[in-house]
Amino acid sequence: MESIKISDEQLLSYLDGNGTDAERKALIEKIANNQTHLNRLKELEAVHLILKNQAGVEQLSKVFTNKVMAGLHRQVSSNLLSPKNGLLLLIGLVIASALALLLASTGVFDQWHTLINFNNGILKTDWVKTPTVSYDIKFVVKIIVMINALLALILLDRTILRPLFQKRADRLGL
Amino acid sequence: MITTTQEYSLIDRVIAGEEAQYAVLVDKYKSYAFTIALKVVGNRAEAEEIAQDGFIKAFHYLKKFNREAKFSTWLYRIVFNTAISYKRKNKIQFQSIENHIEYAGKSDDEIEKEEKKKFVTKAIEKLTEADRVAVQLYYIKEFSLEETAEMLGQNINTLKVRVHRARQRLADELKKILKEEALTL
Repeated sequence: MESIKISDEQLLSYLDGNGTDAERKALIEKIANNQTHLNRLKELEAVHLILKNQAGVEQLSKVFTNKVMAGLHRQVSSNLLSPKNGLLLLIGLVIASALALLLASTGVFDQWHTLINFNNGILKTDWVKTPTVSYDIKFVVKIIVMINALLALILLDRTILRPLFQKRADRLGL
Repeated sequence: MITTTQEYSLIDRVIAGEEAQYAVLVDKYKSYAFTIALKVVGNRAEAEEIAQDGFIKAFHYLKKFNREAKFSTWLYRIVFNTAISYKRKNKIQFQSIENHIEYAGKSDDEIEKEEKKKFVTKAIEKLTEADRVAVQLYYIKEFSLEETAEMLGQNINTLKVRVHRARQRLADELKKILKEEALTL
């Protein structure tokens, strides 16, 4: 028996109805005496038919439209984080901020400060006198803690409070 | 049936404040939006909720719709993304709707077909999410290949590869299961 090579791609293309009548007929004639290809065509055809039968468009009632229209101004929950992940991140932020504040209050950052003299760098000029800035880690930590607190408030609002009140409002039909 | 031009004028009216006109668009596309959501989450109640959220989001962002793509494609993409986010957020395990087979009063041929259907449906659950959604949307004849690709945020060739790979895997799975069944007889 002549060994022929027919790929799954060709068989699937045949099942999708691609190609001219002559090409389709030629493919069937080619595999007619090859049980392996015939079996493969049968397997792919079974899958093809099942998927085809499951592919109907599902119908919805008029009630759906009314529900959408009634909730047009409803705030749809943000897709950013789930309440659980939001809560975990919030806890993380609070712990990090609390640790930073604790370390700052015990004086760990007190020794970490330096001076930045702009006159030594690229800004050095005889005409403009730039100031020397005191660089204090404790101050930087305080700013980071403040940013964390702001982020924590936003997180609390977006991922926990808003979805919670939204759910309540939905339940009460507001 | 409304044309694209009529659709655009409807959108303009909605943006101008005639919110009630949005119901025409919801009526026209609700079944497709629901079908997309259902293919992603596999649960009717959740799919309905997602489709609703999708329409509400589309309403909120209507001013940003730039009319480069069709409104339907833009809307389907919103619904698809909402469904994906919902699924990830709620960690939904995709479950096919049809799994139960009634044997009473059915011929062997019918039972075999039902069994195959059950096996393929189970095998669909094993596919990766991207492949599963791609192959299921590919078979909905109301969506063109271009539209499906745009909806999924993929190019046409990637979509074709996914569909091809998914069908191959399903056929392989069916073959494997049928072989195992034959051995146990």
